[in-house]
Amino acid sequence: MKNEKLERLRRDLEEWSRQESRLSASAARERIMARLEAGNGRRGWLFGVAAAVAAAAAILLATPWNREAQPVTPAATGSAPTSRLLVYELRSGTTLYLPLPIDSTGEELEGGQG
Amino acid sequence: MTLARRDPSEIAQLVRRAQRGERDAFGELVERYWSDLVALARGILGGDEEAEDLVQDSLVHAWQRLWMVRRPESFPAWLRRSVARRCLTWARRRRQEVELAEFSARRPDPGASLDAVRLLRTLPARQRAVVYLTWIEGCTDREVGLLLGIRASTVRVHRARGLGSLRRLAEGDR
Repeated sequence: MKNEKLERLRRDLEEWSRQESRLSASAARERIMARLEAGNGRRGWLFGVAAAVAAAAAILLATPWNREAQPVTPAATGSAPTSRLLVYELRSGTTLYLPLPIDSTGEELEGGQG
Repeated sequence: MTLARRDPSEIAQLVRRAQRGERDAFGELVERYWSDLVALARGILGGDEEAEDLVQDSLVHAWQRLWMVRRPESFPAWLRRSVARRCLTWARRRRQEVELAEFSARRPDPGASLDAVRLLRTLPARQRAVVYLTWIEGCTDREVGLLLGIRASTVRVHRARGLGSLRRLAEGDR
């Protein structure tokens, strides 16, 4: 008698467990995709971070931190027309001008390296 | 378990595509597993009301954490575990059990399966989950232990207590 009641209970629960969900599978898919599109999927923030890192890297790479100078006119520097300058622009924003005197033939004078 | 009947290689392919960010592939997985997961949630919660919402939450969460699935073949079990634990946590917080006195005082319901569900809901959340998974879905103690994060020996204890309570209530109903 006891087992019959329990067995009936089990059959009822089995039947109940096989009932269809109120929301169909396709409707559930649409709802979940909508939530992901709306940003519930947190992968979106990863793309934002990646974009910010890429932008920062582009700015840093675009900032000249070491390059050789272009020939400078006498009016700009006051130095001899045949002098060249090595210009170092540091990341800190400091600019270093190191004179590199050359002779009239265009060759660098000995010991002129900065 | 019903989730194992699907072609594993096909599922693995969908999982890999979803892990690469293809939402359509994930949508396909959602559609394939929806009914089974809702049935699982329903059994653990002892009702329909929150089952579908919690399964939806679990699936959204799964999308965010797909990278954790190292073997695509293990995706079904991983998903099922996620749903089971979320439902169990929710049920334990909400204390869904119907008061025994309230149940005893109620007149018999003509819908037998509704009575069965109300009986199931009288159990504490973990006992209910264990009884449903072992007694209705036919999971082994080890499988239930993996699903819920408890030892197989604990599963046996919960099942014995849960079935004992159900037996006493079923007898007392008449």
